[in-house]
Order: sequence, then C-alpha cells, then structure tokens
Amino acid sequence: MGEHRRMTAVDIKAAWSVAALKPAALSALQSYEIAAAATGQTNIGRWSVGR
Amino acid sequence: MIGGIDPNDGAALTDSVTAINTALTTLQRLGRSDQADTLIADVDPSSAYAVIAADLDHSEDWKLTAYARRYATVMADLARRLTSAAATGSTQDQDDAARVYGIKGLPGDVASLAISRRDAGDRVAAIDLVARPDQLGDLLVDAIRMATTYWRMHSLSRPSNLATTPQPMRSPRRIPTE
Repeated sequence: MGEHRRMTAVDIKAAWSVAALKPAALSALQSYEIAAAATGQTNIGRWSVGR
Repeated sequence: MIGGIDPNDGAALTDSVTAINTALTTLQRLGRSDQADTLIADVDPSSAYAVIAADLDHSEDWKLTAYARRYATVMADLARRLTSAAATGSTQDQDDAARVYGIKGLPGDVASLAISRRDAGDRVAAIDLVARPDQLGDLLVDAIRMATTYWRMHSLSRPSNLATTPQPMRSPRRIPTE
C-alpha cells in the first residue's frame, strides 16, 4: 500500500515557488516536450493531420 | 512516442524535478525550509524570461526554444543547489544528534551508542552521592572492567589516557546544609 502524506503549508509554499519558475509559455508542456523544445522542436502538441 | 517526440528525451529535466522535490522534503524535515526558499529565490529566472518576452527580433518558435533552454538550465541549477544543501544539512543534523547524545566521535552504531550513553547517565543520576558515595566508585570500577574485557576481546590497545587501575574516589560532594 502506498504512503500518502498530507502536504503541509511549507510543502505547498515550496511547491508553488518551484512551479513559479516555469515560464507561462511552457506552462502547458510536459518535461519531455520542454526538452524537445529546447532542441528546437517547437511543433509540440500541434496537430499535423492533412499536412 | 507522441507526435514524433520520445518522452524519454525529458529525462534530464524530470531528474532535476525529482531531485528538487527530494531535497525540499529533506530540508523541510530538517527544519531548513528558509534555506530552501532562499535558494529558490536565488535562481529566479524572471529577468531572463522578461528579456526573451521583450525580444521583437525573433519568432515565437525561437522564443519557445529560448524559454525551454533557460528553464531546463534553471531547474538543473536549482536541483544541484538544493541537493547540496540537503546533504550538508543532513550531515550537520547527524553531528548535532551525536553531540546531543554525547557520542560524537565514537565509532560504532549510533543507536546503540546513544542507548548506552543514556543508560550510563541514568545509572549515575540514580546514585545518592551523599548517602552512598561509594556506589559511584563501584560504577567506575565496573565500567573499566567491562571496557578492559571489550578491548581484550577485540584485540584493541588500551587508550593511554585511561588508568590501568581504578583510582580511589575523591571525597563526595557535600550538599551544604543550613
């Protein structure tokens, strides 16, 4: 059975501070998508059907 | 694979995020959340992001790449700083605990040493120095006998600063009476 820990106010504050480091332009992207964007692949998440 | 992108490509960034969360948990447990806050504030990339946002010479795709590179660098830097702080804090915490239990610098299992140190303190505290000062001497004799046996069992040399024979106790402390 997994361990579930209740987040404390400190946890939430730190998590929020770390989350705030992510620029708004990347907010909808996952880590692998950001890594791809960093290499210049900027068509992430865009549909290419019919092209 | 989604849209031709391998999810494993983000392993480095994912590792950074995992390391950050682990270090934050450690620092919080050690009561060093303030230090974590300071380190997070130190890597604040908002000014770098502002420069990218204000760039009018490049396309949106170029900006996305710039944001991604900067963010990955910031997260890797933060992971390194927090992990280092957590490691230092853990070492300091162990040292502090060893000092509190009076076992700093002693080789052996920390828990066993702490229990032995506590038991020894309890035995000394239980002695009535006024009524039975001889018990303190008896305790010292027992301690030296046990230590000598231990050293022989483990073929260790006796520390030079410990007397071979228990010395007679000094006069017990007298509690002044009115």
